[in-house]
Amino acid sequence: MNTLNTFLFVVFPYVAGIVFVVGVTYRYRRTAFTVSSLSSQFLEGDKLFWGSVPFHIGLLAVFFGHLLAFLLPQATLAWNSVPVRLIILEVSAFVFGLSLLFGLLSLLWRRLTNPRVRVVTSRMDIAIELLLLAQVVLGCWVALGFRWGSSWFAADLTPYLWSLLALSPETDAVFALPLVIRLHIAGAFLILFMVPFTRLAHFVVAPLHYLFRPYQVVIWNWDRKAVRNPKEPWSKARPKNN
Amino acid sequence: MTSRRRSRAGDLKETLKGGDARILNCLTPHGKWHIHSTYMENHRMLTLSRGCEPVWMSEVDAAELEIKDNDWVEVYNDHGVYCARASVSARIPKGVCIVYHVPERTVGIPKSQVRGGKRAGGHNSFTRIHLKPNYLAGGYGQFSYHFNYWGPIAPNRDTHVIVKRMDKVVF
Amino acid sequence: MDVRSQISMVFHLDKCIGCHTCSVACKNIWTDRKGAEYMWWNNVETKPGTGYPGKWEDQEIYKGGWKKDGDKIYLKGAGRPKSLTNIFHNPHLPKIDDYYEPFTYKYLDLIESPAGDDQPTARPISMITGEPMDIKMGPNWDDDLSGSPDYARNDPNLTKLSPAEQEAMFQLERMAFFYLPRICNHCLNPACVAACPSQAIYKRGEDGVVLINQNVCRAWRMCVTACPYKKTYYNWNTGKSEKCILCYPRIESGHAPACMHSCVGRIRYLGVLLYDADQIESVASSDEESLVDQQMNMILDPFDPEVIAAAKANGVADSTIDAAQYSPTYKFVKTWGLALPLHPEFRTLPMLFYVPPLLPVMASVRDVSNEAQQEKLNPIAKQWPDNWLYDTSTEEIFGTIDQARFPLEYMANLFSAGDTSKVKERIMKLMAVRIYRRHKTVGDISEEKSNEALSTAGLTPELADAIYYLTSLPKFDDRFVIPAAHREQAIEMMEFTGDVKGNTGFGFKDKSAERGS
Ligand code: SF4
Ligand code: SF4
Repeated sequence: MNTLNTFLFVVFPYVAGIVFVVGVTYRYRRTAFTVSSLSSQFLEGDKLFWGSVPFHIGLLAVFFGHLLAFLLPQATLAWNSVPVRLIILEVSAFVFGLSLLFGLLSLLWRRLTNPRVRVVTSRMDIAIELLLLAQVVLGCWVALGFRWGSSWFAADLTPYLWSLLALSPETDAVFALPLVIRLHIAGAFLILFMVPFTRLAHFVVAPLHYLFRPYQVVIWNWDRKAVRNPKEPWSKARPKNN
Repeated sequence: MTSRRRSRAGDLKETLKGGDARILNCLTPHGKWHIHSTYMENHRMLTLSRGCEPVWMSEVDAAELEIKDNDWVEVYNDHGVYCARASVSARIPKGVCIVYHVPERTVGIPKSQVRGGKRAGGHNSFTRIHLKPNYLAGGYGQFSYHFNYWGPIAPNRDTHVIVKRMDKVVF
Repeated sequence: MDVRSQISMVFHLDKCIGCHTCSVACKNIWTDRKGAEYMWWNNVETKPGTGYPGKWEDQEIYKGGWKKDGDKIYLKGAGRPKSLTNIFHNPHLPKIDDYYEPFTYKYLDLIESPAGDDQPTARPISMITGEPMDIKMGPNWDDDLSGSPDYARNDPNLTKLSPAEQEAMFQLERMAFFYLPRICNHCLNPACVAACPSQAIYKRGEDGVVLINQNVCRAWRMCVTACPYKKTYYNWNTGKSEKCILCYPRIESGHAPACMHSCVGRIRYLGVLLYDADQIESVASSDEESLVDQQMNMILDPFDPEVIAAAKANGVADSTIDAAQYSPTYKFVKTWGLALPLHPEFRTLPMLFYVPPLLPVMASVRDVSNEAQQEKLNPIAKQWPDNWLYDTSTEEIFGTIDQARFPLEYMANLFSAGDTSKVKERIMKLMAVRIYRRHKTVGDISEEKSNEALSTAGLTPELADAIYYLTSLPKFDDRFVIPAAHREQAIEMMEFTGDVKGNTGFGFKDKSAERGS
C-alpha cells in the first residue's frame, strides 16, 4: 500500500508534470497542426450548446476554485471562518461541479449517439471523457461526503502541493486521507499526464492575446527594404523575415 | 383528331388506358454540364446537378400534380420509364418537362413503381430513337446496355409523358 | 500615404455561362480531401437564388461582416469580446446542413452485388458518415432557378423590392437570371482576420492574399461567422479553417489561379491595384452612400509620380508598379468605372469587383396585342396567351434600363448597397459600347446615334474600343497581369543562400552536405 501511495503521490506527480511540460511543448513546436480544439459544432450544434457551455463554465470555475485554495490558503481559510461565507463558497462550487457533470454527461451522450460526431471521435476522446467523468464524479462525492473541502484543502493539501513544488514531498497528510479523496488527487495528476496526448491540449493555447492585438494582421514575407544589399557581406545573425 | 392529339396517343396509348392524366411534353436537350464530361455519373458532375439528372417541371404543373421540389418522380409513357427527382422551376413553361441528357440509370436511381419494381431506364427509354443504319453496322451488340453506355443519345427530342410522384422509394 | 499593392480580380458577369468549370478546377486542386468535400472555395451561384451556404447574404442569420455604430465599425457576430465569449459555442456558426452534406455513391455495389433479376444501382451515401442518405442540398442546388419557389423567391436581395416587382421577376418570358461566381474577395478590411482569436489569419503584405496559417488555427471558428461572404470554411476532419488561397503558389510562379485559367467564358481578370492603406479604417467606416466611391478613391493612380515614389519608398517592387500600370483590373475599376464590389455594405472592402450583367436589363418588355400573331400560328404550335413583347430594339437608346425585366434595385442591392445610380451608370456604359459596336459592325445604327450614346454614358470612341478589346478579344496576358513574386529575394530573407553554395545541387534541405564523422 505504501509503495503504491509513494508512487501515486510522490513519483507520479513529477512524472505527470514533466510529461505535461515536455509533451505540450514538443507538440506545440513540432506538430503545431495537431493542436486544435477540434470543435465538432459544425457537424452538430444544438446538443453541443447544452454540453459544451455548462462543461466549460463549470470546469473553469472549479479549476480556478482549486487554484485559489492552492495559491491563497490563508485567505481561503479566513473567508471560511464565517459559516455563512463557507456555505456560500461550498454551495456555489458544488453548483459549478454539477454544471460540469451535466455538461460532461451530455457531451458524452452526444458523442456516442450522434452519427456525425461519431465520425470525428477517436478512442482517445472517449477515454479522456471517461477519465474526466470519473474525476468529476469523485469530486462531487468528495464535496458531499467530506465537508468542508475548501477548508481542509487549504489546510492539508496546499502544503502537500507546495512541498511537491519545493522538491521535498511531505506526504503524511495525503497518505492519511480517505481513499476517495486520494483517487481524486491521483486522477488530477493522471489528467495532467494525459494532456499532451489528447485534445485537452487546446486549453494551453487559449487565445487570450486576442484581447490585446490590433484587429488587422499583415505579414510581409519579403520586405524589399530589408533585403540585403548585395555589396554588404552576410551578417553573422540569421535574418528573420517577420 | 388533331396531329397533336395523335402524337400523344402514339406515345401514351397503353399508358392512358387506366384513365385520364396530365400529359406533359418532355424535351431532352443537351445538358450544360456535359462540357466537362460526357459521363453523367462522374461524381463531380453529380454533385453539381443535385445528385442525379433531375426532371425539370414548371411550378404550375408541379402544384397540380402535387409534386414538390426534390420529390422522387417517375416519367413514363408506352415506351419506357425514367425515375429521378423533380426540379420545380419558374423558368419551365407549363405543359413541358425537361430531362437533360444523359442520365445514367446505375447511379442512385430507385426502382420503378409503375413497372412493378424493376430498374428503370435512362431518358432514352421513353423517347423514340431512330437508329442510323450505320450505327447498326457490325453487330457488336454496341446498343445493349452497359456502364458508360455511349449509344445514340436523344438531344432535343420530344415526346409525351406522364409524370407521377413516387410514393415508395426502393433502391 | 502608405502605398501597398493588392492582387485584385474583376469578374465580367455578362460573359459567365454558368458552366462551373472554375469550381471544378478549384475543387480538383485544393478541396478534394476528407473534411473539405463540402467546401467550394470557388462557387457559382444563380441570381436570383439563395446561394451557398443558403441565404449567406442575410446577415440577420449569419451575423457576418462589420456594422457601423456611430463613427466606428464593429464585427457583427464576432470580435472583442464575442470571439472569446462565444468560444465554447458560437451561436452564429453555419452548420454542415447550411452548406450541404457531401455525398458519393456506393459504386462498388455495381460490381459486387450478387446476381439478381434486376440491375444494381449505386446508392447515395454520406461522405461524412458513410451511411445511405437522402440528397437534399448541394453546392449549387438552385442552379438555373432550380427549385425557384423555395430558393430564388427567397433571395435576400429581393426583400427590398415590392411584391409586384418580385412577382414580375418570376413570370415566364419576363424573367431573367444571371450567374454570380464567387471566391474569397481578399478584402482590404477582412472580417475573417479581425475575428480570429488565435491570430492565425493574416493578409500578405506584398500581394494582399489573405491566408490561414494551418499551424496556428485552433478551430475557434470565428472567421466562419465573421466573413460575410462565407468564404472561410471549417474542415470538420482536421479541425482547422480553410479558405481560398488565390492559388498563391501559382501566382508566385507567374500562373493565373486555376479558376481563372480554366474559365470558359474568360470572364476573369487579375491584376495589381495600388491602394492607400492609411485610409482603410476611415473608408470602411464611412457612410453607406459613400462607401463605394470611397473605396474607389483609395485605389491610387499607378501613373501618378507621387504614388510611384511613395510605393517605392514602401518597398513595392518596380515590377509590381509596372504590373499595376498594365493592370486590367485598374482599367475596369478605375479608368472605365465599369466594375463594382459585391455587397460593399458588409464593409470588408472586397478586392474582387464585378462588371454588372447587361443581359437582364438590356431588353425590356412592352405590352402589345399578340392576337393577330396567334391567328397565324399552326395549331400544333404552342399558344401563349400573354400580350407582351420581348423588346430588344435600340430605338430609345437607354430607355430599356428603367423598364428592364430585372429591376435595377435588385442589381443595386447586390453591387452598390442599394444605390441604383451607380449600377445605372455602369450599365449605360456597357450599353453604349454595344451600340457603338453595332454601329461599327452591323451598321444599322447611325454614327450620330452611336456618338450620342457614348457621350451620354461619358465615353469616347477610343475608350469604347479599349473596353471592347479587353471585354471580347483579350489574350491571356491581357487578362492576367501578374507581377514577379521575387522569390529569390524572399529566399534570401529566410536563409543564407551562401550556406548552400558549393552543396550537392539538391536533396539537402536542412544541413549543408557535410561529411559525417
Ligand atoms: S471574403 Fe471573407 S474570407 Fe475573404 S478576405 Fe474577405 S472576409 Fe476574409
Ligand atoms: S468557368 Fe467562367 S464562365 Fe464558367 S462558371 Fe466559372 S466564371 Fe462562369
